[in-house]
Amino acid sequence: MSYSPPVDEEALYKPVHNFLEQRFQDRLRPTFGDLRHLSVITARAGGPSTGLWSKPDLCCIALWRYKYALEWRFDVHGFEVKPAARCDLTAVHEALNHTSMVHYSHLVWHKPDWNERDGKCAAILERCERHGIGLITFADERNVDTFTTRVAARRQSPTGDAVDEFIETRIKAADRKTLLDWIAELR
Amino acid sequence: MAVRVAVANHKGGVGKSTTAMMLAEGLAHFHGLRVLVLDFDPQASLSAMLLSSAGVGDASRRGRSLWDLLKVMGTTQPLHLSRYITTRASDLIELRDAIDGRRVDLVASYSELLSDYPGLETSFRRRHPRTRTDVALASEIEPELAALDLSYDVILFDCPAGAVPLSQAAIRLSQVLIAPTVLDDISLRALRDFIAIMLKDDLEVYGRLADFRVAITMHVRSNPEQRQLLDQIRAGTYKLKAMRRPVGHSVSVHRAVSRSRSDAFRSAREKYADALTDVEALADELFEIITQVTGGLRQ
Repeated sequence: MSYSPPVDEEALYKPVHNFLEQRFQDRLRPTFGDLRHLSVITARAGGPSTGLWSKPDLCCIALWRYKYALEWRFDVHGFEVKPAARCDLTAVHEALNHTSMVHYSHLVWHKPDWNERDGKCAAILERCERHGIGLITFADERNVDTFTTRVAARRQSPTGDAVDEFIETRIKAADRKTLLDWIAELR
Repeated sequence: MAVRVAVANHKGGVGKSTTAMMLAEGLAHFHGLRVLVLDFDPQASLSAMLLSSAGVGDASRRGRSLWDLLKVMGTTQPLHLSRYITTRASDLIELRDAIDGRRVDLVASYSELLSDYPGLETSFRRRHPRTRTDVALASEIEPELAALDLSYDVILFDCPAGAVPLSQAAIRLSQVLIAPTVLDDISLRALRDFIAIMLKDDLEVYGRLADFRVAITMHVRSNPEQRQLLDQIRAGTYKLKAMRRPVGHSVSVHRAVSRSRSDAFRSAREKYADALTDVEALADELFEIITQVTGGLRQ
C-alpha cells in the first residue's frame, strides 16, 4: 500500500497527540520519580478572537518530581504542528511566540525526507537551536517510532498569570478539573 | 500492521491473566516487540500483575483506566485511546531500560469497574439502542486501534470470563485467539462449549480467526489424569490445537504475578525463575503464529 503524506495540518493533530501520549511523555518521566501528565489538542480552543499565531496546536502539561526531592514541578509544553510542505522559518517564530505562555515550545514538522544537509532543514534546525525551540520531525504520522527529536527545547519563563490564562482559555473544563484535583492532592 | 490477539475463555480461574502477562512480556523481552495490552477484565488482575495494586490505583487517579475510557465511550466526546495508555507498564528491568523500542504498554482496568460497569453499559446501550453492545463497542474501538497499527507490533486483549460484551468485543476485534485452560474434564467441556456456543454460534468468528490455540496452564506433569488428557489433545481426540508447551503449576509463576510496588523492578530471570523457559516457549510459538499472520513483522 503506497503512503501519501497528509496535506492538511488538522489531519496531523491526532497522530501527534498519540505521539505525546505514547512516546514524548517517556522523556518527561524522571528515572526514579513520578509523573502525571495531560495531553490536549488546543488548536480549535479559545475562539477566533485570540489571534492567528497565539495558539499552540497541542499542549502537554506535566506535573513531576524527582524521587528524593520535596517539590512537584509544573511544566506546560506547547506544540506547533506543520505538514510536509508548509514549514518554514515563520513556523519557528510561531512556536517562539508561544513561549510567552508555555514553558517549552516545540515545532513538530512532518518531514518524511529529513536531511540535515538540505538548506531548508539546516536553516530551521539552526533557528530552533538559536531560540531554544524544540524541533521534532516525523516521517510517518501513523507510526510514533518515526518521531525524532532534533533539537531539545529550552525552558522559558512565562509569567504565572500567562500560564494560568493559557490553561483557563485553552483547556476544557473537565481537564482543568483534573489538573486542579492533582494540584490539591499533591500540594 | 499490529496483530491483535485475544486471550479468552468464558470459564474463570484458568490463568487467562497470567498467560496474557507471560505472552506480552515474552514477546517484548525475547523478540523485541512493541506490545499494547488492553485489560478488559474488571477484576484488573493483569493490571495489578504489571503495575502492582498501588500502580493500578495511580493509573486510575491519573484518568488512565478502562473505566475512564468506557465513560467517554458512553458520550459524544471524541475518543483518544492513546490517552488511556500507561507506557512501560512491565516491571521487567530489561524493558524499562530498553532503547530499541521493545515495550509493554497497558490500558489498565480498575476493580471499581466491577460496581460501575452495569451503569456504563446501560448508558452505552442508550446510545446504540439497535445494535448489540459488543458490536457497538468493537465498532467504536476499531478506528482507535487502527490508528495505533504502526506503533505496535501486537495488541493483546485480556478478556473477562463469561459471555460479556467486553469479552465478545475483544474477540471480534482479534485475528488470533489463545484460550488458556486447565487439564480436567470440566474445563475441557467448558472450553468446547466456549468454541461451539460463543465463537461459532453467537459471534460467528471461529471460521475467520487466523489462528486459535489452547494454552494449557497449571500443568502438573506427575498427574496421570492430566498426562492422559494432554496425550489425547495432542492425538487430536478433542480437535483442539494446543500450544506445544504447557505452563507448569509452579511457585515461580505464583511469585511472578505479584508485583510488590510500582517502583520495584526485576530482571526476567528474577521474576520468572525456572518458569522463564515456559515464558520463552509461549512467546516463541505466538511469535511464529503472528509472523505467519502478517508474513513478517515490522515491514
